[in-house]
Order: sequence, then structure tokens, then C-alpha cells
Amino acid sequence: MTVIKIEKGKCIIELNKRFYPKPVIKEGVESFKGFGTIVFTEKDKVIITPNKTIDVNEIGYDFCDHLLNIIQGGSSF
Amino acid sequence: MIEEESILDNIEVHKKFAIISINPKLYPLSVIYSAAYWLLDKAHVIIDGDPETEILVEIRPRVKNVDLKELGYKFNDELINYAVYTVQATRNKKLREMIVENALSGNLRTGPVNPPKFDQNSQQKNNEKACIPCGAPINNEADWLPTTEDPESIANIRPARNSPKDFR
Repeated sequence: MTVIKIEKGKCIIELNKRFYPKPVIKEGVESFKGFGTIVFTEKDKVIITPNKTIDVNEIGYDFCDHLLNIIQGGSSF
Repeated sequence: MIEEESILDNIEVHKKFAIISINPKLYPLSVIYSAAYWLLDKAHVIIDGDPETEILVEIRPRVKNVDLKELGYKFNDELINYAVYTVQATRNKKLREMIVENALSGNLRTGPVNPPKFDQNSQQKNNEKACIPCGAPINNEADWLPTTEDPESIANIRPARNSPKDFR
């Protein structure tokens, strides 16, 4: 189940692994580092603390879009 | 006339987003990814659900005042679009492979199509003893006009014949 939650200025994303495979998430995490602090936890959650200029409510959706981009073979970042 | 909602409607509209339900038996996951990717410049897309029974696609427009139902219909259209493309690509696969194979084998000829210049002189020397089209011997070397544009001497260019003696 994919869920995007905002807690204390952090964006927590729980991705459905059947649609977003682990290697894709890892690649997405690597290329998303410029947007803030990003961690891929052992429980397969992605936690993003975005830079001040970036909207915390939007970054989770941007990250999911980026993963889709990787799956389709391109990269916009 | 009262506008009826279609019983086949697969779009659930919420305030800020819409959820599209897709039957994975009709559309493979690759087609769903392609259609979702196509929608990325208009909306944020999240894929969820169960790949065996029901796939859910959440679309959240990037700008306000977008008709979510309309966007959902466009997504449905793209699903059909990519599904047709996939079917056609599968049907034409063998033909495409044959075309590529032929194109590549054409590039793998063993001998050069146009021999390099240093080869042309030696080739002309070999050819100057006989006329290629008729096989007649060429005795007078002055009659032979070598040309770099005709390395195989196919044209066999000779000077113009001015007297009856030249025709013998």
C-alpha cells in the first residue's frame, strides 16, 4: 500500500513494493539527495526532510513521479 | 435528457484527486506504467492495489481547476492506446527483426564496395588488356582512358573515332 504522510516537517512514504521494486526505490533515493535529507529505512519506508525552499506536501508526490520515471527508463532530475 | 453515469465507470472522483481502477487481466502492468508516465506532466501519479486482482491509479493534478473526470477518461484512452501499440509491436516483432538482420548483414560485406584509391591503379592495370563488355583486346594503351569514377571500367570510355580506319 502506498501512503504519503507528513509528520513534523518530514514526508514519510510507504510504497507498494509490488509496483515500486527495491532497486528502483534505491536509485530514486540516490538521485533525490539534492532536495534534502532522504533515508530508505529497513522497514522499506522513505523519509524525506526537504530543503526549506521545497514544499513538504509536494515532495512525496514528486518522489513517486520520479520513481515512475526511473521505471520507464528516463530521468528528469 | 438526463445524463446517465456509465455502469462501466472506473473513475472515482474525490475533492483533490481521482482514483482509477484497472483490471490487470485487460491491461498488463507495462501498459499501465506507460499510460501513467504519459500523464506525469499533467498530474502526480501513484500506483497501488494488487497486480493480480485490481490495480488502482491515483491521479492528483499539478494545477487547480482541472476536471478530474476528464483527466481520468484521458488516462483510459491512453491505456487503450498503449495496449494497441503493444499488440501491434508483438505482431510485427519478427518482421522488424528480419529488417534489422538484413540491414546489418548488408554492412558486414567482406570486400569493400568502393575500393580505395591506391587499389584503383592496380585494378586498372589488370583491366587494360581487355574490353570488359565485349572482351576484345585493347592493344593501344593511348585508347584506354582510365578514370577514377569508373574503377571497374564498366563504361570502357574510348576516344572519339574520327576516320574509317578507327572503326576497324
